[in-house]
Amino acid sequence: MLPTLLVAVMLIAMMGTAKAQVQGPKYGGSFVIGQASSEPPILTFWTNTFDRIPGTEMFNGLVSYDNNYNPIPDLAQSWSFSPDGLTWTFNLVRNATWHDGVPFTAADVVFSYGFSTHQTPLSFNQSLIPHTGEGQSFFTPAVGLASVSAPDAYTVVFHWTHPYFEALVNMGAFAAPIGPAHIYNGTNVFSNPYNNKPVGTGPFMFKEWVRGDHVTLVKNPTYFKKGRPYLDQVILKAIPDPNTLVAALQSGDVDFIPEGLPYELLPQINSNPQFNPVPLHTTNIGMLDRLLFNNDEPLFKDVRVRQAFSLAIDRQQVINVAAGGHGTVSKCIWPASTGMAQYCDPSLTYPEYNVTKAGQLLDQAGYRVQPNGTRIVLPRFLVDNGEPAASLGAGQVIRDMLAKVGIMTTIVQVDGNTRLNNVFVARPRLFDISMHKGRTGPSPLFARKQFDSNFNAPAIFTNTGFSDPVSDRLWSQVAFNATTNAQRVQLFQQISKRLAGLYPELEIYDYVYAQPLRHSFQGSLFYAIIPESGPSENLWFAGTAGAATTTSMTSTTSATPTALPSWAIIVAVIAILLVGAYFVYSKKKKK
Amino acid sequence: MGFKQYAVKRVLEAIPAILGVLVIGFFAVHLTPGDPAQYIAGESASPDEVAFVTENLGLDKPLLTQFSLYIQHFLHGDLGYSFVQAQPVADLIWQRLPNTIMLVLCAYAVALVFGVMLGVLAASKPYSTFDNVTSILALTAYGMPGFWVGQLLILGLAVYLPIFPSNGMSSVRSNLLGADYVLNVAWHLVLPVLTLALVDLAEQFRITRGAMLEILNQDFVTTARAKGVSEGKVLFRHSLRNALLPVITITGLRVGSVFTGAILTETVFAWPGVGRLMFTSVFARDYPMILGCFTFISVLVVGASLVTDLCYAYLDPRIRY
Repeated sequence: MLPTLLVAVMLIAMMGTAKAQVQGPKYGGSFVIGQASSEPPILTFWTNTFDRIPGTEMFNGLVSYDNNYNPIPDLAQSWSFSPDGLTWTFNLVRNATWHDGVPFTAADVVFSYGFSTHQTPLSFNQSLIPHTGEGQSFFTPAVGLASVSAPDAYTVVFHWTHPYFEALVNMGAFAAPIGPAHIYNGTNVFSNPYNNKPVGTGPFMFKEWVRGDHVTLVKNPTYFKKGRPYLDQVILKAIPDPNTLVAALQSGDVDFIPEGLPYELLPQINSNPQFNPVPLHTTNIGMLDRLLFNNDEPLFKDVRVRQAFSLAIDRQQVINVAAGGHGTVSKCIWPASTGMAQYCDPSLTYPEYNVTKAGQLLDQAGYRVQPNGTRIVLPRFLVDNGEPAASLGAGQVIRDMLAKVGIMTTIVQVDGNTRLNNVFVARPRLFDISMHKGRTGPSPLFARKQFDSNFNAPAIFTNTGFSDPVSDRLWSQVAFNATTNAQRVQLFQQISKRLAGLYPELEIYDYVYAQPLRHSFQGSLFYAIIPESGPSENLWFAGTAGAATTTSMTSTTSATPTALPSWAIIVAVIAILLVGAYFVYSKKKKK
Repeated sequence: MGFKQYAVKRVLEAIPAILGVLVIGFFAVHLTPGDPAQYIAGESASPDEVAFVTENLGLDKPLLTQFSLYIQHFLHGDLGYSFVQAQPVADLIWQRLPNTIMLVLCAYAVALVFGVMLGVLAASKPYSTFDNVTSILALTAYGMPGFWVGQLLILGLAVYLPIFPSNGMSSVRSNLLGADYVLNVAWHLVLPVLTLALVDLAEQFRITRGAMLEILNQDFVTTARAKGVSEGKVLFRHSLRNALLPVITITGLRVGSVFTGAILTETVFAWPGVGRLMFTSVFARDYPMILGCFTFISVLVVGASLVTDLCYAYLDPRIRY
């Protein structure tokens, strides 16, 4: 009986589904973002995790970005630099308020940049450019940023000890969200109850977080950008299994997957007219699929060996076999197929695949072919079993290519945390080579800690034992001595050229994201630029009816009735079973 | 030995079992590679910041000191504080527990009712077509991994034939209340319950069928039939009651496997229960959370085994050890 009823309810609900129509911007609708990665530990703005979607929907930065990743106004409506580059003045918007109604002022910016009284040594916005100093966070009074002051309620002045152009690229909500001073000042930021019911200035306000299931954000009716946002709700749905996530996309439960699809599922999703074609983005922030060496091992101290590895790998073939042809062969330490191409020396390209030359280099380095056909045996080729299948596929193709020159490797699949520990933290390091997919922005300086030998502490994403005093000096110069943008770009190009000849790691290919977005949603989506961050303020629902419309949407500011607790449902289910059992029993008795 | 002494003895035996679980669980979790402090501090944290988080979490203390503290807290009913979610572990388990219990209870109910019913019917006509078909189906179901069954059900009944939702506990787009919400949750329950119940149902079927076949050959059943008692009464009133002991045993023993099955089922269906909490905590190296879930499920299994033994002893007075 009950299943029949449920089927009937479902069928009636499905009858209302109509094909979306493409129209101009309009208001309303719910946008469901599906994520396979685990939920963020906390929701508030200063969370420093990989996943910042809730935060970036609820908070703003001083700047935002256009599609070419140029800074554009956000909470700062304009800014200027002193001629020596040491003083930056930001003029703030005057109509922004926090979600609790308190006006946003310069005091919030001063607080958020870590110069208020905090009870912990963890500064806010530590991710801003955390490792530009010599092993220290950049935004500490000792390094780089001398002070942040507020001459009036809507003006903020940054005073630098060195001109530092990288910072502007990192002042968006993704890396440096502005938090509410009135909520956090004088409290322990770790235990502040507003960490999980954040109060921001952003286009969407916190409504509820059902842990393990979803986070619901609702439209901010007093958002300082007039006419935005269009959507009524943005919902983040945590679906840990990638196959279930794709099924949810197809069944209409999810509208967008920012983390991207595994390539092998592309044909399946492209067969659905609601998504075809799934856009493939090479994001400006850039992701590279790389092969890391354990440069602490004597084997990899010899540049000829590292170069031989590079020559033994046919990068285009890796893309063809492991990534379904999606991606571009890497040319430098930044993804040259993206907006970061300007930082790569234009003359750069890796030498072509050449097994013979690779063998010669290994001979010269003393690794001759043994009677059993091997030169080198590497039993610890680590691959993350949580990453897209392309990562394992690339590892397998590379393993087979290396075997052709007598380098025998054994792939060991481990979970992400174990791999990060074995590669970056453990001493001695517990790996020989490892596949590694890593972000390279938003600032190109983000790559510094992977190559600069000053960043060799046991912490993730640091240097894996490579040392080159020349490039170390160049990194330091670009961080603290570049006084113009041209100088900065030139220094980055010098770094790229220097490192290209030293092979501290092998960049294999520039990764592209296959990000399915339901066609009933229109407008620009910032996720196209940075997959891990929002917001959805420029997105609108173009369908006339269907899954994305909400039912009984209430005022965003009024108290929302809470759903029944789960215990009540258990009682209801048990009651239904008991009633059913009673009817069966009484029927038998009558017989 | 009387029932009371037997019960006391069994309860006392459960204590070292739980302690053993704590010792193994604690050291197994802490010996896995990976650093929760690094996970919490984030990808761009400096070593100083990681060191601060490490100290803050108490992970800088010797392992034995950490273990001693854990046991002390456990004895006070405190399962610790989640590193990652910054909340007491007990609170987090408590928040998710109703969802898991709802799933597990429904799966248990489905497995028990249908497993026993099909087992009785199959045994009533042994080696008939019905018996052969259900036996083969039960064997097949028994051999299928839960996560695979879940994926098949999602593809079949949520994607290609969109009858049921593919994931979650309720429709997140809609603000449903009252009876609508209850129906919506029940609708979301169908596929995960089927997935979780299938293996258990097959097991219950096999056990019931085997026990019934043995009972149906006994003299008192022949006598009942000779007296003209209806076949329904013979099967369900006279025979099933006597065949229930092994069913009770298996029901108690399967508590552990149902809860571990729930870890995968909850992950496949994005069901926000304790199993999924444990799954995500493992990847975050959230030691207290993993240990809390591990301890909780272990205590539940030890408890279920204890209750089963006591029921067994109570129902069959011959059992005293």
